[in-house]
Amino acid sequence: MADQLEVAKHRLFDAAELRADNVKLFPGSNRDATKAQMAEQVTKVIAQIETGDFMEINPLEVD
Amino acid sequence: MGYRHIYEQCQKLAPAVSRRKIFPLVLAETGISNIRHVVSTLDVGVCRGLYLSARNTEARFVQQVGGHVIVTARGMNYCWERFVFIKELMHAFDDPESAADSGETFDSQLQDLTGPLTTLSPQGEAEYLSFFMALGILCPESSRLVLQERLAARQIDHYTIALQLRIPELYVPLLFEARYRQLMDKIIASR
Repeated sequence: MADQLEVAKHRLFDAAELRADNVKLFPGSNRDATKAQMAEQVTKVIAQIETGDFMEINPLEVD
Repeated sequence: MGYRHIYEQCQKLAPAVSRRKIFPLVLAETGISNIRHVVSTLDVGVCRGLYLSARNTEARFVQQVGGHVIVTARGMNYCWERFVFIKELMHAFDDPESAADSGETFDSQLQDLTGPLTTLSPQGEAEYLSFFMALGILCPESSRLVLQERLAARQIDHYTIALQLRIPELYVPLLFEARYRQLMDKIIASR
């Protein structure tokens, strides 16, 4: 499971990848969630967005 | 300037404070040209959303959604989606010291999010304070004081307050904790 953390770090911070200068997370309901599980979610959502699997909300059009 | 300026402007607004009003204030204050809000699949047991700022304009991700993005999980109700978005939006005010911008700082942040609440890293502290920063603008102080009185008089309950503020009921008790005002004053003084 430690691999998940390394994969997320690679996707976020490597020079050829996102080169993230900040990432922050909103934790879920499971208080026993692990670092590896959180990292997995980050990696997964990056891949989903890369492949267009998302919908967009305009914050100026919602209350 | 910074968060304090947004906080002061939102004190003049009546709940439920709208994202239409908060969002342009944050962009103007931070100088960030845009922050995209996208909804995608996340396991809400583990993570309800995230804020991500990325610099590699050649990366597919940045080409899809730009350099500043907030992701919220599919399937959350209106109040959850609103609160997760505003809480993550508060990270636009993170200073470089509290940014998770390397494998090491990301690791520390995850440790703080999943371990016992002891001494927090600057990244973990930013996560913790962002909840209160969001509450500070979604619940103007004058409204909070009225709600606190009505709650004490048993004229209202947490669920009704959540509906008025349009925030998850889970976070209503934070507004009335003894430390709330002290913590907000500290945030306003420093951000």
